[in-house]
Amino acid sequence: MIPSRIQAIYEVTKKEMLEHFKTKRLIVIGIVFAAVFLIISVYGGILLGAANPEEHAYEQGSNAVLNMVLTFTNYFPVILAIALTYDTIVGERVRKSMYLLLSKPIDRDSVFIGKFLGSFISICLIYLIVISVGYSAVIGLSGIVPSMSDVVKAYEAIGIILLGTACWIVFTMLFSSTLKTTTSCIIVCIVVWIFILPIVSQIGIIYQFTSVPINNTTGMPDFTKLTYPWYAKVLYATNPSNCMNVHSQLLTADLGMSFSMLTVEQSLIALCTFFIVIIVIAMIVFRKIELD
Amino acid sequence: MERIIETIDLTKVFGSIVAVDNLNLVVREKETFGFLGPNGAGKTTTIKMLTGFLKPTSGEVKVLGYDMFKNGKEAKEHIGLVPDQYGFYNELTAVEHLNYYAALYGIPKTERRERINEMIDLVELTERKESKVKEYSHGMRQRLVIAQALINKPKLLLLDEPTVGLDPRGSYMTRKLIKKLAVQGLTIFVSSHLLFEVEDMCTRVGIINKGRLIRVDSIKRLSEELREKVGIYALIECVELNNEIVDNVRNLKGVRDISVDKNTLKIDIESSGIIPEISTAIMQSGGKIKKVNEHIPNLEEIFLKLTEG
Repeated sequence: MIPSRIQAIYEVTKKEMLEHFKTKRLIVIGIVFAAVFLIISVYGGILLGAANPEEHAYEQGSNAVLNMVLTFTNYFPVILAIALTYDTIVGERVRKSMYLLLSKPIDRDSVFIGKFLGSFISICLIYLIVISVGYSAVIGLSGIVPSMSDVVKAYEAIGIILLGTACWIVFTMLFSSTLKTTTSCIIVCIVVWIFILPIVSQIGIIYQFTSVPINNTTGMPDFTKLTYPWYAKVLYATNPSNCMNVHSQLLTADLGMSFSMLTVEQSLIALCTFFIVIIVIAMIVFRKIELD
Repeated sequence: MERIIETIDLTKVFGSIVAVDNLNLVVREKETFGFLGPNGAGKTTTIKMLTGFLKPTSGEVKVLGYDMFKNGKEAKEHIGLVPDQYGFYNELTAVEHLNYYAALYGIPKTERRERINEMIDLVELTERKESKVKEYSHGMRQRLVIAQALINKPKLLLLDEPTVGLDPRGSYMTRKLIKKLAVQGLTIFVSSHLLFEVEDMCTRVGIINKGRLIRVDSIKRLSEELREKVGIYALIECVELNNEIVDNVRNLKGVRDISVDKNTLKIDIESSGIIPEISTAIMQSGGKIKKVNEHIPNLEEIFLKLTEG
C-alpha cells in the first residue's frame, strides 16, 4: 500500500522532530536561548514594575519589554534554523541514509517538505514555549496586565519572526541540497548569514546616505529629509533578518520607538516572496540533483 | 515466468566515464540472480538505477512491470534494498527505524508492531531493539538493514555486497537467510565480489565488466562452456616420475598439454573420459599412482577468464 503524499510528509516530519529532540543540538541551543530570554524578561519585568507610570515604556507595558527581549535574542531563531537544517539533506547524503530513504515509495518533494516541517515545528515549539513563559514572567513581575490587542500584537510579532525563521530554514536547505559536505554547508550558511546578506542589504542604504541633502543653515547632512528609493528597500528586504526586525514596529509603534526601512506590510510581502522563491528553487534543485 | 527486472539499453555516464553501457538484462520471478564484476564494473550504479536513485543517461528500467522513472512509487512498494553502503539515524533505535520505514510503505499502524517484532526476531536483534543505532556493531547494523529491506514483504530483494565486513558467522547467517528467502519464492538480485557466495546462493549469474554485461547464464552452463574452451586439468601424483612416463602420457590422444611439478603431472585434457587411459599409460611405463584429481573450472576461473584483459 503506497502512503498518500500527506501521510508520507507527516511521517518524515514526525521522524525529523523525533531526531531533533533526541539530538543535543536543539536542546543545547534551546536551553541557552531560554536562559537568555528568561533572564532578560525577568530583569525587564522588574524594571518595568518599578518604572514611573508616566514613562513611555510603562505606558507601553509588557510589549515594550518583549520588544527589547526579542531584539536581543533575534539571533537565536536564525541560529536554530541553521543549526537544525544545515545537514538535513547533505548529512543524509554523506552518511548514505538518503539512498535507503529514497528506495521507499516516497517522492523527493515529500521528503523535502517533511524535513522542512520537522525543523520548523521543532523550532516553533521551543520558541513559543520560551516566549510564552518569558512574556508571562514580564506580566507577573511588572504587574501590568496587557490588553487583548497588546497580546495579539505580541503574537503577530512572534509570527513575523517565525516566518523569517521559515525563510532561513528553506535557505539553509537550499545550500544543504546543493553542497556536498556538511562542513562546506555550515560555513556557507554562516558566511551568507553574517556577511553576504547583511552587506548586500545595506548597499542601498549606504548609497542613499551618500546623497543625504545638506542643510543650508547648518551645512550638515539633514537626515530628516532622508528618503529611501525602491532599490534600497528591495535590497534591504533580501535579508530575512531585516524583515524580522519589523517586530519593533508592531510592538512599539504607538511610541515611535521603532525604526525600520520597511513597513510591516512590506516586510510580510518580502518574507512571503523570499520564502516562496527559495522553497521553489530548493525543491527543484533537490528534485534534479544526483544525490550519489 | 514474469519478468521482475528488465533493463533495456541502460546506460549511465558520469562525465567522460561510462559506468554502465547498454545493459540489457532480464531477471525472472523467483530466481536468485548473481551480479558479478570486478570493482568499478558498474554493479552498484546498476542497482542504484534499478531502485530509481540514479537516473539513467539513456535506456529503461522496468521493475515488476513498472517503469521505474514513471511509476517508481508502485515499483518501490515491492522492492527491498540492502545497499553496499548505508547509513541510519544514529539517535534512533532499531524499532524507531523499522517503524519509520514501515510507515513509509504505508503499512497500517495496527500491523506495524507485529511486523516489526517479526523482523527483529528474524535478524536476531531482539535484545538490542531499543538501543540507539549509534551503539550497534557493523554486524548488527547489517542485520537491521536486512530487516528494513524485508519489512514490506517485498517481491524483489536487491542486495549489494550483503556480507562485506561481516565475520564468518554473520556472513554464513546472511547467506542462510538469503537462501531461505529464495526457497520461500522471493526474487533475489545479489551483487557480490565473493564468488563462492554467488556460487552458493545463485541459480544464474550475470558478469559485468567495464559497464558491459559480458555473459548471463547458469553457473553450470558457464562452467561447461569454459570446460570446452579451456579444458579440464587432471592432477596425477606419482611415486616417482621419469621422462618415459611423461612422454607416453603426452602422446595420448586427447592430451593437450602437460607440465611437471616434482612428482605431480598437471595434464590439460579435452574430457575427463581420458583419465583411465592416462592412468594405464603411467602404470605401463612403470609408474605408481598415488592420487588422481580432476580439476573442473569454478566460478572464480570463469570470472577471471571472462573479465581478463
